[in-house]
Amino acid sequence: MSLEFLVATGIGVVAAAGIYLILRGRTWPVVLGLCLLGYAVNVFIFAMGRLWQDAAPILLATGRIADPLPQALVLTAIVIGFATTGFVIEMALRSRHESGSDHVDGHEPGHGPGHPGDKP
Amino acid sequence: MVAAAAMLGTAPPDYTLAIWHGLNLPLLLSVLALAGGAGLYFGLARGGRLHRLNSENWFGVLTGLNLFTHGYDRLFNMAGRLTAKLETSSLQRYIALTLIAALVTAAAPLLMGDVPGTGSRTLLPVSLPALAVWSLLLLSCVWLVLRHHDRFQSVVVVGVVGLVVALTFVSFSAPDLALTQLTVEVVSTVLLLMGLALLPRQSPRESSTVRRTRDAVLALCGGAGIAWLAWVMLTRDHDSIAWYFLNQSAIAGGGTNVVNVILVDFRGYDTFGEIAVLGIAAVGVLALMDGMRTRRPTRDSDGLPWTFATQPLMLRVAARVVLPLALVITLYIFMRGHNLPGGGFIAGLITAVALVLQFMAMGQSRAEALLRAESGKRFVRWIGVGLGIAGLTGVGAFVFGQPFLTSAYVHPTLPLLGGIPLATAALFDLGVYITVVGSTLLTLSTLGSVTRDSSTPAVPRAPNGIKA
Repeated sequence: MSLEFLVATGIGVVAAAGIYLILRGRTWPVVLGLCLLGYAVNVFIFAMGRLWQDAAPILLATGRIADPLPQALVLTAIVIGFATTGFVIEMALRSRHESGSDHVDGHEPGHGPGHPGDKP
Repeated sequence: MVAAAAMLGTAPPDYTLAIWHGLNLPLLLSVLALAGGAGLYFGLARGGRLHRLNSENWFGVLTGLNLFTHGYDRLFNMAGRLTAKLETSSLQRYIALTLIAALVTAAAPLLMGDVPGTGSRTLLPVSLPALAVWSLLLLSCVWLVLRHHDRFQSVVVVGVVGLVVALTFVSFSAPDLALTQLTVEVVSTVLLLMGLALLPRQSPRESSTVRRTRDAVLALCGGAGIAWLAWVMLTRDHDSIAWYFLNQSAIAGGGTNVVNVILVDFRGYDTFGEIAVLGIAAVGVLALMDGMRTRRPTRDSDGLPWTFATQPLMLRVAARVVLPLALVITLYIFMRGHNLPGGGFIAGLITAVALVLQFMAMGQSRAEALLRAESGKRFVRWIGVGLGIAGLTGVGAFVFGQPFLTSAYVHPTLPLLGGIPLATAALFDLGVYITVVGSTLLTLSTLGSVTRDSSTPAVPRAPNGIKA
């Protein structure tokens, strides 16, 4: 077993949990699933630069240096991921406010659309 | 000529064009053909015979018109049925179909061609802490899949996953990413909890076994696929274009933290676009929540209060003491960003965390009054100012005849301070900083404003107001 194995399987497991959650029927698990998928994708892109230990891309140190490019890309991706998470949360809130249901389809299952406020 | 050559792809053959070529054989043949055609028509159509012909007498129902209209209608009906089958207005179904399509597209070329296996890169040995963190991650993910119905606890577990991600960044030489991830984690947990206060605490268990199995199969396929891709990639050495950045960072960018120099200098245009996206997302949140007012339940289903009746003294005092300290640290992180881990993004997030603590300690209204933010709308201006500074820094390069966002740096020697590095990239980074603070606070404050005045029982807006 190697650290590469741990990282690869870790990415896979987080992505799998994320995929499972975005397929749920309520908005909240979908929000969390998107968070998890974001984590998996960020680490995946970061790992494009391969794994390096004790080799931070700071030029003061001598010796090996990690690939800085994926790090720069992922840094902004993390911040934008936060912004989109915020957006999705508030979309979930607004959807529930407008339709009275927190189902992703905007109405409780079994009730057709266009009946805001229907309770199961 | 030019157009003809472009159409043909080669030089056109020799030809001559004229309106009148004189009396010659081609003209004679044309006249014969015209006269022959006219004679044939008048011969056949004498007495209107030709016009009385009915094609149905000859072909029955299989006339061209019928074939065309029926085929046309069939095609339309088929499209309608297909649409009705696919478009069930069920998001779960759409996402599942999209995922299946993505999986098939990703897997097909790999399965049909050579399947790449484990590469030859020397791998890093496993340490005990790494194994422990990995096990924690697996447990958290399994927990999330099985127990996500308890929404409050699942927010905490998602936070655990986020911290594991931050640890991953630390241990694989990405201090900037770890700092960013850690601060983002704090802010997004606050955001998630604020959102959760307005939603039910439990998700109902309503998926059928078939659907859960389908989703599990999809999730496992997707997870295995991405894990396998990561493994194939991680076990191979790579040749990066980043070595150019490493060589040029100190010479051309004037900084030793290559990640930051890439962000604010080499790839400054990208970063400019990204902070614009950040600002747009925050303003989008404002637009989305416009006019929405709701009453937050003061207590959750277990009877625990959501908010403090009065903010605890310790928290208020601590927040007051922490704020100036946090701002000094922010300044430090910001200033050193070009050379050591830090920079505008991280400094902005730390400031946001410190300000969010003020929101929690003294309540939103007072905190916003202190920030002169006028119920949060003023944060839009912060975003504008930040984007403006970043954009003007870029435009400033035009004055010196350089392309947009070209950076320059000097190392002036000042009395008392000695030589200090100054790069125009730092000014750009200031724009990034202000945009990040503005966007984060706007998002949080918009969400908080939804339940403003929740102490006075508001009249539910329209019949579709949220009932606690």
